[in-house]
Amino acid sequence: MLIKRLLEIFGTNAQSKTKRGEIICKECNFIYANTFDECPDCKYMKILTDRSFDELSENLRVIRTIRGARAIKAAKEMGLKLIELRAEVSDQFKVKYKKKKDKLTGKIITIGDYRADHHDSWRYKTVVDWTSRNPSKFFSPFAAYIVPKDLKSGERVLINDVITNHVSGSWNQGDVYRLSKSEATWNGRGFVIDVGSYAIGDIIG
Amino acid sequence: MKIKPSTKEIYTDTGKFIKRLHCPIHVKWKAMKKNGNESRICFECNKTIHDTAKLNDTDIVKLIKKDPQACLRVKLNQDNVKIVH
Repeated sequence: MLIKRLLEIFGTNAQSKTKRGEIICKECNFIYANTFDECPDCKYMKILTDRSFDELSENLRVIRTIRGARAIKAAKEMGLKLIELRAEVSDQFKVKYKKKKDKLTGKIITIGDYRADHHDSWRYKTVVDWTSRNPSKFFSPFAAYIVPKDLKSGERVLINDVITNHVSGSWNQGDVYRLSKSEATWNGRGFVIDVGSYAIGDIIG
Repeated sequence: MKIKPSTKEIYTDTGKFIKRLHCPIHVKWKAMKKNGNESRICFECNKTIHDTAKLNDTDIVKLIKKDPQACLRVKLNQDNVKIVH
C-alpha cells in the first residue's frame, strides 16, 4: 500500500519532467517549457471540445484562436472554417519582470515596475532578477482563427488571442507590449485588426 | 494604484480590485471636452472621465463606490501607477 502510494506521488512526477526541466504532458506526451501553467497543446484542444462557439462579449461575437499543429489538424477534421496564419516572433516586443520570494510566507511574486522594487531584501529574496520576455514567442508557429460559417463581411468581432503582431503600447521603462486582444472586422477573406480598440498607454474606461 | 496592462484591471496598492477599464467607444482623451484640470467630458456618451494622475487609492475607491460605472483615465507613465503582470 505504502509503495503504491509512493509510486503515485513520486512515480508520476518523475515521468513528467525531462532532464532539461521541461514538462511532459501526462495526457498527450507533448513536451513543453516549465514556464507554461498547463500543457499548451491540450489547452488549444480544449477550445475545440468546448462547445460555446456562439459566445458574445461586449456585444461582439468572439473569434477563437487555436495554436499548434495538433489542434489545427483536429479542427480541420471537425470541418471548421479556419484562417491559418503563421505566428511570427518579433524582437520589437519586450516585457520586463522580476521574481521575488517572500521570506515570511514563501510566496513568489512577480513585479514588472522598477518603482515596485523596494529595498526590502530583509523580506524578499530575488528568485529571478530583472529580465524580459518576448510576448510574441509562442510554443508553435502554427495558428489559426476559427471563423463562424455565418460570419458576414463587415461584421465586427472580438479576437481574444491575436495571431499577427501589433504594438499595443510602450512604456517609459522600456517595455513594448504586444496586442493580444483586439476588436476586428471580417472582410470576407480575413480579419482587419483595429489596433486602437485595445491599445494601451492611455487607458480609458 | 496598480494596473495589469494585459487585462486593464486596476487595483489598489494593497491589491484590492477596483475596476476593469473598458470603453467601447474608443474616444481619445485629447478629443474630449475639457472639464477643469482633472476630468473631461466624452462627446459621444456625455460621461465625465476622471483623470487618475492626481488621485490616490482612497479617492478612486470612493469614486467607484459612489458610481461603479464612472469612467477613469490611467496613463502607464503616471507617477501613482505601478504595473503588475
